[in-house]
This record gives sequence, structure tokens and C-alpha cells, in this order.
Amino acid sequence: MASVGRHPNINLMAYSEVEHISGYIGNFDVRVHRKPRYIDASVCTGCSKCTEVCPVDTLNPFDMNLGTRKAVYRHSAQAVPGSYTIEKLGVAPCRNACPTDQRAQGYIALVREKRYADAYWAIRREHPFPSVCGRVCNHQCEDACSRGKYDEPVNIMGIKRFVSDWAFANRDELPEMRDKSLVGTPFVHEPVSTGKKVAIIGAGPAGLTAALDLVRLGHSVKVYDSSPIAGGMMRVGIPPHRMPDELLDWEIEQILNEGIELQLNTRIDDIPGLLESGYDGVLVATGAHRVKKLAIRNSNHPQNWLSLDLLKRIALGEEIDLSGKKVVVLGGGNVALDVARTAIRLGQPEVSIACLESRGEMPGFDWEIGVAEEEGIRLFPGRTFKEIVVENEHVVGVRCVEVEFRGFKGGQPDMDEIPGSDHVLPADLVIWAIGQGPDFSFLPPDGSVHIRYPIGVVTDDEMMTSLPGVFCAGDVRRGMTFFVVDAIGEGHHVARCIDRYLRGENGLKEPYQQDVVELSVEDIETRITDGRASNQPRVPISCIPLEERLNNFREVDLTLTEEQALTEAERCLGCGLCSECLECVAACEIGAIHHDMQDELVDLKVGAIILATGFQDFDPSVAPEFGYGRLNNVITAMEFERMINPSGPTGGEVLLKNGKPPKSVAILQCIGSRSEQYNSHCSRVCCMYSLKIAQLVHDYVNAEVHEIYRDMRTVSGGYEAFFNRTKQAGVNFYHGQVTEVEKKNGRLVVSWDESYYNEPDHVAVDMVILATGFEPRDDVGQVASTFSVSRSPNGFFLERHPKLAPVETATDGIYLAGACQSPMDIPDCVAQAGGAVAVALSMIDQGTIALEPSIAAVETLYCAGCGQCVAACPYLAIEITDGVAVVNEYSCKGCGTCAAVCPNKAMKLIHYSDQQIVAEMIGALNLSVTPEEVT
Amino acid sequence: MNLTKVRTGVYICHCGTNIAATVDVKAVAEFAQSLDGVVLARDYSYMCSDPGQDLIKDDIQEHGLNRIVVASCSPLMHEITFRRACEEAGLNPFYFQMANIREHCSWVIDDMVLATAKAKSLVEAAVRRVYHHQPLDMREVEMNPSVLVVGAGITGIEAALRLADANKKVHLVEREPSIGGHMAQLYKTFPTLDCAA
Repeated sequence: MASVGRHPNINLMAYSEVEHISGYIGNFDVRVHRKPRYIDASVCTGCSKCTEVCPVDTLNPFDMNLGTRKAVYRHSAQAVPGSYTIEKLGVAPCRNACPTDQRAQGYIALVREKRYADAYWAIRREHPFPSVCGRVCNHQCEDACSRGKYDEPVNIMGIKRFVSDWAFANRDELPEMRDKSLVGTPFVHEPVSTGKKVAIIGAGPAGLTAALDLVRLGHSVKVYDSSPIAGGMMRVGIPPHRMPDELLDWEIEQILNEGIELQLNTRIDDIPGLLESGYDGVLVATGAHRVKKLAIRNSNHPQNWLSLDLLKRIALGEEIDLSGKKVVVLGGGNVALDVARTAIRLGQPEVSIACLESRGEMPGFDWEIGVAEEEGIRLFPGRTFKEIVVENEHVVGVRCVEVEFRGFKGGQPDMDEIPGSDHVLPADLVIWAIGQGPDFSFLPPDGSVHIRYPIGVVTDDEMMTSLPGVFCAGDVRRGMTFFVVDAIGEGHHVARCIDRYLRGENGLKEPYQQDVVELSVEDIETRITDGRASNQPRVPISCIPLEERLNNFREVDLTLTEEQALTEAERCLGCGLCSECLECVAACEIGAIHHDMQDELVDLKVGAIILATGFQDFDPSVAPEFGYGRLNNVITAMEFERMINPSGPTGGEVLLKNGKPPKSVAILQCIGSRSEQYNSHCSRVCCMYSLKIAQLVHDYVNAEVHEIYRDMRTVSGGYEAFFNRTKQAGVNFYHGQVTEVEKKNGRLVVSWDESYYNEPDHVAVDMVILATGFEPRDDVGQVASTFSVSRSPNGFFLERHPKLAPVETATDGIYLAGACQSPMDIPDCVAQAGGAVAVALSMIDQGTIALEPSIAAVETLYCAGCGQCVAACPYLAIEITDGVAVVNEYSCKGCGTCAAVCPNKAMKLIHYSDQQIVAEMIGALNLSVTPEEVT
Repeated sequence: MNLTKVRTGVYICHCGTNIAATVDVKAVAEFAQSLDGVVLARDYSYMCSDPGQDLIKDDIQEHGLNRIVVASCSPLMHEITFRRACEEAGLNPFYFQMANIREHCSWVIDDMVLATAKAKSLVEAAVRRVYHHQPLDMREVEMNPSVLVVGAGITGIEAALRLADANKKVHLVEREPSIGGHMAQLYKTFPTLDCAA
């Protein structure tokens, strides 16, 4: 094996498949599909550091699934090439759904191993604000989670919060692994300066994310914000009972520590001035902080508050007392809920929410509407607001009319008022929360930055506004409030756009999107049954009791306990197999691992092809009579091979399920071979390998061996002597055809028909080894069609002639060798390989090849260029050039299909003219026609 | 095509007793002699033997034959043999036609009368066909000297190494991440009980 890897004349293409061939003997065009290993085999030294840190265990097919391996693995101890490979089925649906490209499966896999610090840095790779998105995200990952098809999605947001809270609680001891969060990204800490300066307006999630990415690329970044605190809507829009300040402050501090300059309390209203003052680029990320009101009577009365104003005052630490008041919050979204729940904490006023939508249609999270009601907030859904009722200069209520609301059309509500439903909701304070939009008042007054009211700032495909060098991202671009995670996603995107603008071709490319894994319900059930995911129900988030929430801003939702987080992590199905945690990338000292490696197509030109695609073992689980899969300690011959192999999963020990060595073993021959039910052919190899196993069991396991055979076929040199040695060693041989294997009194009882006179017809043993036969590989049909090779009735590839052309196929230049043609043992495989090589060399070494002249030819005069021959040709040998068919004489195989379909008889087959064929027919039929009369 | 220019020779092979025991080869040869354009028709024990081939070559030279029909076995067996004989005698090999009176007659028909009748039909078909044959040339193309081996189990490895040792460029394609196939999973192999890997 090793010499293959080293031979200068061998181009070894492992982990590859031939996709297509064309051409003919001497000149085949071959297209090979190279599957991505995600590890550069030419660099990998096989040091195994990657596999040591990989958190994903999976069954090892090389060990017949008797043991496990990691998602990054070496095929076998003596693998050639020795490089590791990552088994990745694609991108997990959770990652695909997340606007930040967060690899949720990755950090969940690390949580499973209690590697919380690793998990934290894995999260930080794409996500600078995990404490926020662990709390207030709309978690599109959970909507996409495959587990949702089975029971409920994994509580991904809960796990993220657990990790970020753990990191905050352990922040002083947190290992310094900042660099780990940069592996697999184009970013570096302390990069070489590009000399480019970027100004960012707005220190919210979009602005700070972009700032972080840009500074890690070597640009100098300064962030401006009009508020006295950084964080944007995360800081001033999320009330403290949902998002404690100190966590976010810690995250912002970490971002700023990477070298970003922050200037607060600064409103920028001269963008062209910024560009003139030396900035190479400007990012507008000011969010959507302008709260909307309806233009109804008295809506400008001072007892009309705005949602964000209240939230901001609280965020800035102002003490507000609303006790004894009747507060009506107008609006049905998440902001309305935040405001109502904030208001009720300010001295237990009477708080209600009124909105257009019906109860079921309210845009706020369902769970939060429930919590709000629990906390004593009353809901008045399904009404529109007509007037803020003012008496004696004080607000006393909101006059409403009930409506049938059908959604928004062109920005306007589509609804019918219900006649006679006019009423007043009593209120002495009204808080507006019907939506927010961006404030555009800071943009240049000359209109050089286009806005598309009410949508937002207009940008091109590269996120640039109409003013060159000025970019825009986040809510101000979208024109309305989205989720934090969307803003972070846009922050990353706009950073790449700005980098491309600043560095041209050297700028960051958009990431390559791999295929997404889709698991069927059956796949999910398999993963749960074989233990890759637990069958526990989803762990919900718990809350502090209602009485503890009165008049304070203690966080209501509790973080998962470690036990709960682990339980929840165990529920993850590990969709992509490789979790993409990138621990291997961090561990690899030579940079050999590339998770974005892509499939590759390689075109080769060869003169001859030798097919040596082999066989597969018969799967005895389709034959329940033999007990495989039904009874413990019934194993296949290959499973025995792995067990007795010192480098196998048991270290060379053949053991029963109870961990003890077997005292007696039965070997059953002809499993799946010479059978009407399964394969009719004799597998040729099993007699001999059964004898070998008998000797191994006898010599190494020291067990009694019984071998049940139908006919002992030991036909090659030295084989009969091998049989005799096995007999002399004391192995018991019984003639018979096994009918069943059953468990009786704790032992496996094998019974058979056709025993010889006076010989046993059953035996009780501890272990049964099934000598499974050979059969064609599952995809033999597809491979046969790729190479245009015929198949025998057994399904194996068919040679041209069983005696005279045993390694040739019906296609010149394509040869067969080994067990793809019929079951054959190693000595025969080696001999046949030599035969195929000799035939191939005898062709190649001629230097040239003579091809039959009997190919298609066009009589151009009659060809109308209709193209029917082009469509009919199975070898793609014809094309229409200048209005007539032209035959490629090297691709044409002379099959004559084109001549048969040509309506004008312009297509002829040389040596098979109509005249020749008609003459032949006349002769065969003994008709009295003279040769000249044949036309 | 001018009839006088076509001079066909017909050869009926006995193939030992494979054909002659079931087909009346003399009768077939006599019948062939009567066909248009046939200058001579013979029967012979083994047409593929050296003397058999020499018969054709000598007749071409001596009688100026310009079409040859051999009624014997499958063209898969000996078409190349007889084409080469024609060529060696200076006749374009595509002026040759073969009639299969073994696989298509003697081996599949027990009745001698029926088998002989069918053999005559096949011979007449070949004689009439060869009348219209044109001289053709084989097409020569260069051989690419490299070889693709698909599958790197014990067979593919063995084939690849032998080709590579013969100084041929080998592309060895394997589906799994490593070569070795089933063989790499085995412990000891018969009959020598030595280590597989």
C-alpha cells in the first residue's frame, strides 16, 4: 500500500469517483469528481491533533461499526494517503438559518463535552453579542432545527445563553483564547495596518459588528454615537428585566479592546465633512429610533409618551414612578410588550395594551404575550384609535373603535370598523409603540444620500449608498426594526463590502455556501435509536416567580442549569456530522484544514481503463433465519476480522457481548450464496476463509470450533492441504444446510438439514460466525452505465468472452480485474490484475491503434441539417456545422442509429450501405435477383 | 459495378467435425460454385490453420480473386485472421466477408438437411453482400499511454503498481479516503496466514 503513495508514476486520487467517461480505446476522456476532505492531504502529516480535539463521535464503518471514531478521522491505521478526512454531510440547518452564519451545532457539540470555554469562543467567532442573542433572539435556528420534525427543536437559544452566562461568571478565569475565535476566519488580532480609515455612525449591533470585522482586517475604525451609552437598541431598547446591562457592557468592552475608538454623545450630521476630514469610508448604522404616532386628536399632548423614550430613560438609570396611574400602551409588537412590562414594574400602575391585531395575530412573541398577561397586563386587541381624550388638560382615555383587521396593504391597514363599537379605554398616560422608523434628519440636506421613504436608505448590491464611500446597514437601511441577529448579519456583510471597496481585489470574498443537510424523520429516528441523540423532551426556560418581579427589574427568564444545558445539548441530532466547531482548525499547527473546501472536477486523458471496483459482503440482516441483528453474538466474518485484528476496536480480543471470550464457536458457510432466495452464485472464497477463521479461533481464541458446510471447495494450489491441516487441528466439520439459529437456554443453537448418516444436525455454541458471500456493490448498475460495461445474470461485470477474453469487456480499452467480475480470492485477484495489465500494455505499447472504418458518413448534398441524428447519437459524435451534420470519426462507434433516423438518407454507415444489406438479405432468402438489380 | 470484374472465392470450413458432421460441406461448396461472380469454391478441414489460410492466399494470387467469403465460425473468432490473410495476398481486407455456419448452423440445428440448407442461405447472403464491398482502410489513431485504474483494493493496487513499474502513468481513483479496500480490514489471509496489511 505504501509504495502506491510513493510511486512517481501513480497519481493517487483517493476520496474520488469517476463521474463520466467518453472517447474510445487509446483516447478516453475521464472526468473525476474529487470529494472535499476538508484537509489538504499534501500538507497533513497525520499527527492526530485534530482528532484529539474533535467533539463528534460517530460509528466507524472500517471497524464494521463495532467501534467509534471522530468526525475528523484517519480511514485506518495504515491509510494511504495518511491524511485525515472530515466527514461532513453539509451545513447544518441551524447554521444555514442564522443571519450571522452561527455554527450552532458546533458549540452544542462542545457543550456536550462540557468544554464551555471552547464553546464560548466558538460562538464568538461569528457572534459578538451572545448574551443578547441568548435572550432576545427570534432564533431562526430553532425554526430550522431538524429535531422539530420529530418532537421539538433543540433549545439552541437557551444553550447559547447558558454558555455566555457561564463565560461572564468565569470571566476572570476564562482562558485567554481570543485567537481561537478567529480560526477559520479571515480576521487577525493586531493586523498590519492598511492605512485606511473608516467612520461608523451608530454603536448598535450592526455598527459594532462591522467595526470589529474592519479593525481585524487592519483598517482604523472610529465609532460615533449620539447616546451617552454604546450598544444601540440592544442597550436602550431591551428593558433590564430581559437583558442585564453588565453582560452587554462586558461584550462591548471586549469589542472596543480590539482597538476601536468610540466617541459617544456625538451626533454626526455632516457625512461629506467626515469624508473630507480623511475617512476613506463611512458606515451609516443609526438604527430606527423614531417612534411613530398616529395623527389623531391630542396625540401631541404631553401625556403621550413614546416607547423608546421610556426605555431609554430606564436604560440611563432614571427613576420613574407610575404608581396609581392608568397606562395604555398602543401597539401589539415586541416593543409594546417590553414597554408594558417595563411600565408595570414602575410602581404597579394599571397597564393595558391596545392594538389593531386580534389576539392571535399580534406580532409580539406568543410566549411574551402570555407572560405579560401573567404579570397583570390587560389586553385590548382588535381596535383602532380615534382620539386621545383630554379633559381639564389631562389625558383621561383613548377613544377606540373595534375593527376587523386583515393586515397591511401598501403600508395602510386593511380593516373594517364595527359600527357602534365606539368606546373609551380609561387612561391617564398613553405610550405609543406602534412601530419605529429611521430618523433621516442627519443625512446631507442636498439629498445626495438617497432614501426610499418609508423603506430606508437606498443601497446598491455592495451596500453602498448613492454617495460614493458611504455605506449603510441595519434598521436604517431596512427602514424598520428587525432583530439583533439580522443587524449583526448585515454588519458582517457590510464589513466585507467596505473591505472590498477599500482593498479592491484583495478584499474579502463572500463566503461559499455549501449544501444544507436535510434529515428525514427516518434519519432522525435512526440517530436517536443508535444513541447519537437522546430521546429527552425539550427543556423549557424557567422564570422567577411572579411575586419576585414586583417593582424591580430582576431578569425574569432564568438561565439553564448546567444539567439542563447538557440534557438539551444531548438532544442535538448533529445534522451535518462534522459540527463545524473548528476546534480542529485551531489545533492544526500547519494550517492543513479548510472547512470551505469544495468539490473538484478533474479531467484526465487515458488510453485504457481497468475496472477493479470490487464487491460487497452479503448483508445477513435480510436473512432472519440466521439470527443476525436478532440475536446477540451472531456476527459476520468481517466483524470477526475486525475483532481479532490487534489494531481493531477490541484490540484483537474476540469477545461475547458479556465481555467474556466464547468457549465454543460455530462457523456457518454459504450465507447468502448458492441460494434461491438470496444469491444463486457460489461466492468461491468463503470455504477457504471459513477454514482460516476456524484456525484463528482454534489457535487464538482457544474455543471449540464447529464448521457447518454444504460442499467444501478447496480448489487452488495448497488449499486442500490447508483444509486437512484445519481438520487435524481438531475443528469439527458437519455437512448440512443451516435452517435456523435460535437462542435456547442462554446458548445459540444452530440447526441444519442434510446431515450425514449418524452425524449431528444441531449444535449449541456461544458465538456464531456467518461466512457471508460476495455480491455486486449496490451501485454496480450506475458504474456499469458510466463505463458502458455489461453485467452477468448475477449482477457482476461481464467479460467479453469467458475463455478467450476473460479480462476484456465489450468496450475496447476497458478491462476488468478482481471481484467486480465475479467472487474471487486474493491470489486470483492478483493474478487477474496482472492479466488485465498485460492486455492493457499490449494495446498501449502499439503506440497507435487501428480503428474499424465502419463509421457514419454524411452525404452533405442531401443533409438538411434537421439535427435528428444529433439527438439520436448515443455517443455525442455528431454536431451540426454550417447547416449540415458532421460526424466526429473518433467518437463514432458505427452503431448506425443516426442512419436509421435520417429522413433524407443523407447519413450512411460505411460498410453497411443499404445496397450491401439488401444484397445480403436477398441472398439469405434465396431470391432470384441478379447482383446488378440490387440498389 | 461490372460483373466481369468480381471474382469471388468461397471457402467452406469443416471445423473438424464441428461443422462437417452436421452440414454437408461438399454440397454447400458446390452450391456456392453456382452463384454469380464465384470463380471457385472449396471446402477444407480447418480454414483457420496455416494451410487453410495459405489456400486463400494462393488462390488470390493464382486466380486473381478479388472477393473472399469464408463460411466457418463466428467473426468474433477469426474475422481478423482471414482479413489478415487477404491483406498478405495483396487484397484489401474489406473485400472479405464471413458466414457463420457453426454457431448459427451446425451447433444449433440437428437435422443435416435443414442445417445444410441454412448454410447455403448464409453463404449466398455473404457472396451477394461481398459483391458490393468497397476497399476501405483502417483508421490509425495515437494511443494515450496512461491508464486509469478504478478502485484501489488489492486488485487495483496490484494493477496500478505493475503498470507504474512498466513506466506507464497511472491514475488510481479510489472512492474511500484511503486505498486498501476489503483487504486492509483483514487480519491474516489464506493460504499463507500472513498479515494482510
